[in-house]
Amino acid sequence: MIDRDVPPLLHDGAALPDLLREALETATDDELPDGARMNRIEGELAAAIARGREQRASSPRVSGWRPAAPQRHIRFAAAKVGLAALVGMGAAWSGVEGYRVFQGAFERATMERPPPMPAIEPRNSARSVTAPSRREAPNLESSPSAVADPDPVFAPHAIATSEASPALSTKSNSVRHSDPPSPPPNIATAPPASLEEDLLERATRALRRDPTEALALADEHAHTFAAGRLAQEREVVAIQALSKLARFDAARARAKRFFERYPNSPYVNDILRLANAPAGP
Amino acid sequence: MSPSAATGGDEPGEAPSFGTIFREQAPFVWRLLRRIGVRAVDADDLCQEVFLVLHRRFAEIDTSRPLRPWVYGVAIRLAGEHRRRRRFAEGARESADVSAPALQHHELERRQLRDLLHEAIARLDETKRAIFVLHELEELSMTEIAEALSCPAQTAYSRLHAARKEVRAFFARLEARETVA
Repeated sequence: MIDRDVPPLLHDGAALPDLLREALETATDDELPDGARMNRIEGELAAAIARGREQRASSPRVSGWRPAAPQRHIRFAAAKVGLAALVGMGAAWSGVEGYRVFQGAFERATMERPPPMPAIEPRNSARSVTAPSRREAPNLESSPSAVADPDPVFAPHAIATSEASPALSTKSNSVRHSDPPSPPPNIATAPPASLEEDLLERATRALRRDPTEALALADEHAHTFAAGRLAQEREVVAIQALSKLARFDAARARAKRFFERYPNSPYVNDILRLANAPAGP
Repeated sequence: MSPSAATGGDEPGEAPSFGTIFREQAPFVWRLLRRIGVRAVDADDLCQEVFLVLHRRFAEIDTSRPLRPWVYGVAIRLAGEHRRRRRFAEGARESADVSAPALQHHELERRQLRDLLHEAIARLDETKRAIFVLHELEELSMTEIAEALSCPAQTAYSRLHAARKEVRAFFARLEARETVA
C-alpha cells in the first residue's frame, strides 16, 4: 500500500533541515477562520443558492451565477417558498434533507444587505453539474431503491474526476443543456408575484393535512401562473400531492412532463424518488 | 428559526445534512485554500464556491464515504481557475521576505517560520503545491490525494517527491545562508 510508504515528512523519521522541520511543526497552528467569518460565508452561500435556484427556474441559459437579480423580495420569497416545499418533502426524502438546514441562513440573509456576488463565476462548475441533464428521459419504472441509491457514476470518486483540475483531467463533462425558456409573463396582465408566492405557500402548507387541497391549489397556481417563477416548485408540490393520494400514474405522467420541460431542474432527483415511491400513506 | 436550530438537527444514524457537512468541512477548506496561497478575502469566496458545487451535487453524493478528498479536490480546482483568471502572482499572498539577509534560526518567530513554509509552497508549481499541502499539512493519504486530484496514485507520488525535493532545497538554502551569516 503506497500510503504506508509515504508518511508525511514529519512522521517518516527522515532527516530534515531543522528549519523545515520546525516550519512544518508550526504549520499545525495555521489559523482556521473564526466564527464570524464562517457565518458570513454561510450567509452568502445561502443567498447564492437561492439566487441560483431562481435563475435556473427562470433563465433560458444558466452558465453561472449572474448579478442583477431582479427584485429582492421576490428573490428571497421564491427561495423561501421553494425551500418550504422541500422542507415539506424532507420527511420522505433524505436527499432533500440538506436543503432544510439552510432555512435559517436564508432567513438571516433576508435580514441583511444583499450579499456581493461571488468573485468567481464557476462556469466550469455549473457545466459540470450535469447529472440531471443526462436524464432527459428518466426511467420512472425503475425501483425506488435503485433511484434512492446514489448513481455510481456520481459517487464521490467519479465526481472528483469530473471536478478535477483541467491540468490533470482532460476529459470534460457533457455540456449542460439549458432548460427551455419560460415564456415571459405578460407584464400588463400578470398577477402580482406576491400572489403567486402566497398561493404556492398555501399549497405547500396543505400538503401535510390535505393533499387534495394541495393539488387543487397547485392546479390553481398552474392556471393562474402558468409561466410563473415558481412553476418548478409548484410541480414538485403537485407531484407530491399526487403521490400522497396514491395516484401514482398521474404522478408519473406529471413527472414526465416536468422532465421534458425542466431537464436540468435541481428537483429532478427528488421527483424521481417521488414518482417511484411505493404506495403508502 | 435560528441558524443553529436550522442546521443542527441531524438524528443519530442519519446521513449528515448539508449544513452539518458545511460546518464540519468549511473551516478546513478555507484553511486549505490559505495554505495553497489564496488570499484570505479570496478564500472566503472560493470556500463559498466549493460548497455551492457540493450543494448542487449533494443529492447524488454518497455521504457515507469520506467527503474530504472530494471537497478538497474541488477547492484546489477552483483555486487554480481563480488563480489563472485573476492572474494574481504566485506568492502575492502575505509572505516572508526570504531574501532578507542574516536570518537567524533562533530568532525566527513561529509566524516567520510559517511564512517561510508558505513561501516555499508558493514557489511550487500548482500541481506540486496542491499535493504537498494535501499530504504534508492536511495529511491526506496518497490514495485520497489521487482521488481528489483525479490522477494516478503513482503520479501523485512522483509529484510529491518532486515537491519535497524543492521544499527541502529551499530550506537548505536558507540554512546555508544562516550559517554563512
